This record gives sequence, C-alpha cells and structure tokens, in this order.
Amino acid sequence: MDAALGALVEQVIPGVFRVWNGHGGFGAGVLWRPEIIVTSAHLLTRGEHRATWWTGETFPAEPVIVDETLDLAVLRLPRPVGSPIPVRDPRSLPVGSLVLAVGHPWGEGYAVSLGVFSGWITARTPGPRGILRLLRTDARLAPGNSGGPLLDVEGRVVGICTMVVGGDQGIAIPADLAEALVRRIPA
Amino acid sequence: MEREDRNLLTALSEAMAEAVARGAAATVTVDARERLPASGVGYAADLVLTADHVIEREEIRIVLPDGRERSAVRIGRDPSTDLALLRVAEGSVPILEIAEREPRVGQLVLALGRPTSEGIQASLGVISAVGSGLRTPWGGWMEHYIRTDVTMYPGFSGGPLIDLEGRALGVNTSGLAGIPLTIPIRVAWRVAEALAREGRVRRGYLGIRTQSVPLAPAQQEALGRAQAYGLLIVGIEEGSPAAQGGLRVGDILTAFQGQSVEEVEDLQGRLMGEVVGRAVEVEVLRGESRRTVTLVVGERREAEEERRWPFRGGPRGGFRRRWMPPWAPWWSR
Repeated sequence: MDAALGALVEQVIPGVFRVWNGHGGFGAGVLWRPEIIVTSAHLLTRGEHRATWWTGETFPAEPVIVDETLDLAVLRLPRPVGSPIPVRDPRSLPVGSLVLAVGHPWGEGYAVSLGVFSGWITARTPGPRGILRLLRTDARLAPGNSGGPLLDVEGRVVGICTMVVGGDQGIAIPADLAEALVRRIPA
Repeated sequence: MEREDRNLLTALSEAMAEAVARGAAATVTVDARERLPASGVGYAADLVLTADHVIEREEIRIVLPDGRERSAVRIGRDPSTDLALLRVAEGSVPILEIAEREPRVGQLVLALGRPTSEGIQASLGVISAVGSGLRTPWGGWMEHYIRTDVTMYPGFSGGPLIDLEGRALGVNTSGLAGIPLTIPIRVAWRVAEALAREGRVRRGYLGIRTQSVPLAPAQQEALGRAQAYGLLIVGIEEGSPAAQGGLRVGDILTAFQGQSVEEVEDLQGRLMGEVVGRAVEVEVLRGESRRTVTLVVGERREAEEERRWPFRGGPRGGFRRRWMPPWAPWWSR
C-alpha cells in the first residue's frame, strides 16, 4: 500500500507546478495540456507570473483566462513542458473514494495529504452561473494548496483545491469545469 | 509488482466507496431545526434514531435516502445520551446494519451524514480512543464511548460511524460533550429499544450528592470488611428518597443492595433500569457505626433536572447549553 501511494505521488509530481504571482505569493498549478497550467484565480495579481517545475526550472506564465466566479485561472507557458495529468470527471467518483491533494501548504514543496471525497456541496454565486456544485474533502489543505490537484487513486485529477473552510474542510472545484474552461482557449 | 500495489490502492478506495453506499442506504435527513438539518439512522421500518439536540421543533421532516419525504413525531428522548427516537409516517425506512465486532483503536472508520439534498457526505479517520465510562448529564452513564479523528461536518450529528464493511459502530453527536463523540452502537440500540418501549430510559434517583473518600481502618473494622473507599454524602435534596429514608449529610455510603460502592460510577451503574420504584437496602457509616437504611428509589424526571441544571432551560434560558466532561479543554467550557 505504501509503495503504491509512493508510486502514485511520483507519477503526478511532474504535472504539479509552483505558481508565483510576482508579489511574493504562491500556490500550486496543474499541468492540463503540455503548455497550459490551471490554477486558482485568487493567486493572480497584476504582476508577472512565473511557474516553477519540480526540476527547479522556471518559466514565465501568461494568464489566458481568469474566471473569478469559479476561482480558476488558465496560464500559458512559452513552450510545451512535460506530460499533463489525466482528468477524471468527478461525477463518476463515488462518495468515500480515497483522494490525494498535492500542493505546497505553508510553502512546503510538494506535500501530500490523504483523505476521502466527502460529497458535493452547493455554493451560490452572484454571477450568471448561479449555483455551483463543489467537491468537499477531508484531506488536510492549507494556504499553498490553492491551485493544486485533488487526485483519485489512479492519479487522475478530479478537482482543483481552492479553499479551506473552518480549518478542516477542503473545497475543490470540479475538474470538468476546469476542462470546459481550458477548451475555451483560442487556438 | 507495482501494478499489484496499485490495484490494492484502487481496491481499498472502492471498498470504502462501497462501505459508504451501504451505510448511506440507512442514513436519513432529519430536518427539525432552523439552521442546517441533521442526520439520523434507520432503527426499524418506521423508526429513526437521531441526536436529541437536533430536534428543536414539533414538526419533523425526514428525507429518506431515495429522496422521498416523510413527516415524523418524536416518540421518546433520552437527553442523557443525546438520543431521540422518531416514528415515521408511512414507514419504509431502511434499517442500519450494525457491526458485530467491538471497535478497536486504530481501526479505519468513516463518518456519514446527510444534512443536505446533495446526497451522502462522508469523512475518513481512525478510532483514536475507546473511552471507558463517561458520566453524562441527567444521571446518564455510558460504559464506553468512541473518539475519532474524523472530520464531523455540520449536520453530522445523528449519523452513523461505520467500519470499512459499511456496518455501524456507533452514532455520532456533538451535543453530548461539546466535542464530537460517538455513542457505541450497542448503547445506542439499547437506548432506542427502551425509547420504543416506553418513550424514556429509566434512571434511578436518590437525591444525594456524594464524593468518594478513603475509609479509615476503624471504619473498615466497623464494616467488617476491607473496603478502601466509600461515598461521603455532601448534600441531600429536600423531599427526595434519601431524605425520606433518613440519610444525613456526613454519612458515608458503603454498599447498595449488598454490593460495595466505592466510586460515584458504581452507584450510577446500579441505579439503572429495574431498580427504579423499588425498595433497596443501602449500607452507611455514621461516625464509626454501621447502619442499614431502606430507601425507595425514585425516578429522575426532566422537570426536576431543569431546575437543577442551569444548562438547558433554567433561569434566563440557561447560561450554557452543553454539559462538559472534566477533560474538556478550558476554552470549550
């Protein structure tokens, strides 16, 4: 079991970036296409954004789409890098499934936390989307996990970690919404 | 090799999802308060067991796992264990499967709740401790209780704690000790049985306040046996069974029905169930002489408790709703 978890983490780490917003703040990002990173919109500022790979290599990252309602942002890298993490539609994920969150909580690089998919919660948004369905997890999240992937045990991303409520509930944006956002990128 | 490991992980994940589905089949929504509804579990086809503190009004709405709505009435409550039993109109409540094995520290568990219409909610953890003996408000006594590190989301009170086979180990509540606790399923089922039969759990009442004190050698001699502790009576309620039986402040209670009593819990345990309403013999030390006194055990009534406990009801609505165990952290008091 330990070996399986270790192998799983090793498999996904090349798909997880650190995203710097040019003002000292940073979070995580998920490689969605070879040159596209998905992260949280609340990380972004007006400054220059950079993305650091696990190798330490740093790339300039340009925001292409920012959706404040979904708290998602799509960044473009100057050239294709590595292989993206496969995506799973969370609607096929049963409640109680094991999930892993990979991110950089409190600045700790590539930290992993384990939990289960706790179920769906709804959030009312002021925008035209109205009610959103979000993933809830009991995997421990902290500042720095924002923008990082929530993964199933096969290493597929099911959500983008976004926030912590009450210190012990993690909220993630469903991966299908991120996928729909990425598809809107002009070719 | 790695392939097999991976399958193991997938198998565990699937087993957990399966367990959640099994437990979820008997976990219902209990909507009887202004804020977020809570959860409940099926005890019988027309009975739902839930946490007492989540029932704040007469009209109770139950939502079954398949989405059908039912109205329910509370047919019994036991504030002492924070459990309430509801009778559901038109029945067809799925019954919770309960675990045969005793809960063990370190065991993986899942807490379930159904507070919203979004379906079942679950969280994972381990059993952190199986506590032995918890005195609860209103004279209650649980011989053991379960503590976990599971995240209890809002509305999880009344929901089940299940093992990885989907069978219930207990019923969760945060209304008993201010922190989330799990009432072991055997205690919960026993209370539910009493509530179904007569709408309450009988607990005996003597009307004394006691504390455990060591007995001097001379006092042990007066008893004629080696008994290290007895219960010093420090207060007697007026008109209570103890007052009518002639007990006095300063007496040391040493035996109840011929069985020695050294701790408050010993007495609490003996005051449950059939003894209520019967004449019993208690042995006391008054000074250095031993006496036997006959008392008629009364029954604890909530009306009396409301007067005595400032926590619920009481003047100005009570200054604090919850009772706290001695080990609760200071900031939760």
